[in-house]
Amino acid sequence: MTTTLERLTRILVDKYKVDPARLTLDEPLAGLGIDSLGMVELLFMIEDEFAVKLPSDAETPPTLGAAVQYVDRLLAAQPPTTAALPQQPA
Amino acid sequence: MRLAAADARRVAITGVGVVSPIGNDAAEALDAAIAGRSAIRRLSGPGSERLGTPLAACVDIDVARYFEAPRLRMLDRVTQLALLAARQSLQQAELHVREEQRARAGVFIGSGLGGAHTTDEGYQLLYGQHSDRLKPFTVLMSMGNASAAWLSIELGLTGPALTYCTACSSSAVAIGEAWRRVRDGELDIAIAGGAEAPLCLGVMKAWEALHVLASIDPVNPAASCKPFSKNRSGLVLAEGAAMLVLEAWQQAQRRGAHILGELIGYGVATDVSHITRPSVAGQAAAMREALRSAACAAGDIDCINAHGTGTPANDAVETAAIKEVFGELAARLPISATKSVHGHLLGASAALELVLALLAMRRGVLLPTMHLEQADEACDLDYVANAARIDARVQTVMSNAFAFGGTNAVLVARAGRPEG
Repeated sequence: MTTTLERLTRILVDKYKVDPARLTLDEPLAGLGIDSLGMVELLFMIEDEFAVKLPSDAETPPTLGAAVQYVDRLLAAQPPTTAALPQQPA
Repeated sequence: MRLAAADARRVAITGVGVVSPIGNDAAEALDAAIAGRSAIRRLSGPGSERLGTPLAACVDIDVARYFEAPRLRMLDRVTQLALLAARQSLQQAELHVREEQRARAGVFIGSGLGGAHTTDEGYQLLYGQHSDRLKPFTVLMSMGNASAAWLSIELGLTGPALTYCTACSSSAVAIGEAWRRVRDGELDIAIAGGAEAPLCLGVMKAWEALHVLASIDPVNPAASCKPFSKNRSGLVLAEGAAMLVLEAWQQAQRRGAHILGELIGYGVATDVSHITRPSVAGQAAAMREALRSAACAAGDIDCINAHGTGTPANDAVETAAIKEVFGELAARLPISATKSVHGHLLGASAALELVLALLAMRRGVLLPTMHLEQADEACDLDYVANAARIDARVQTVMSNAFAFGGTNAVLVARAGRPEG
């Protein structure tokens, strides 16, 4: 199973063309050329990738490792998927 | 404050930049225009099957080579093209704006549509894919002033960063308004020009619905835009950007800049007759005002870069307007319509055409109007049909740009005389 780190790494490599060799857990995200505005988009992509909803006042994780922990916490706190409503007979 | 004529300053053109269907720098574009090499192509690929007329002139460039990925993600295609053209113009001008010059340096961009690709993608997500999640940068990328804003940020210019939206005359207006500010002493430096990136499905379908696009030439799609030809059928959409560095003449001389030319006049006048139908009176008024501001007589103009879209209405009306302004001189005036090879870049066209006209003059060449296949009694002037003329003695060009909405803008430029 793909880990949170691998999935975040793939976003950074695919979308921001970051050299995978640079991506260690303590790498500051700001150092990857992603400024505060860019971080808004990164958080948006994290929501899409992990199907989570970040709070509107979500703090910016300073490092890749912090981002991994943050996402894992959100995933752990996420309510179980709701069942689909039964369809009415036609 | 407008200075008295005696105090008005000369305005030098010290750099030009081009990213266009016919070349990704000014020299390459000029060569293609002289050779009459059309970049108009039949489109293929996703979305083209939904177009009744899958035809356009596209810019072929790998933009990822020129921008860091995080920055590129914030720029609509129109802004990417604008920044690339502007960088070229500054590089040619060898201009490094000093700290104390920044407040007297501005950016003037013409664009009819702004970030149309971003708007189109947003609507596709919202209505096509029924997603409620629009990308966070949608506003920043689609806003009409994004190109001017990014350019001012990139260059650190703290004077005005203005965007002009007058449809197909947008960049002529931007250049003209910049010229006025430098001439009148408000600014010493202006980066002026236009950018447009309209080749997305939503915009192309909208243009198609207006019934002004050229039908595809069945033998040679590249020859589909036929300005002033009796069998012309409309315009061909295109994308691109062109920028000029305008500087106060004495400053340019003092720093030893290579002066490419001089912008000497600008006229703007509005039709007020119809939202799309051009008027002889409006076009003629803009040409007369440009002559007046340039302190030129009609006989001082050596050639005209026509608006020359290839629509039945424009070319006949423009011909009549030129006759009205130039009288019997019109018959001897060479008129070039380079949209025949690069298509209509809408708000960016005027800037590209001014650059081409200026550089062609410097080379002593009259640019051809290509695909002029059939004489039209309503278009009976000298359009430099189908082949460039070399060894031309041309010093001063009038460059026309007319627009839906009726804003007619005309620029007059003179080839550089470095001795000043």
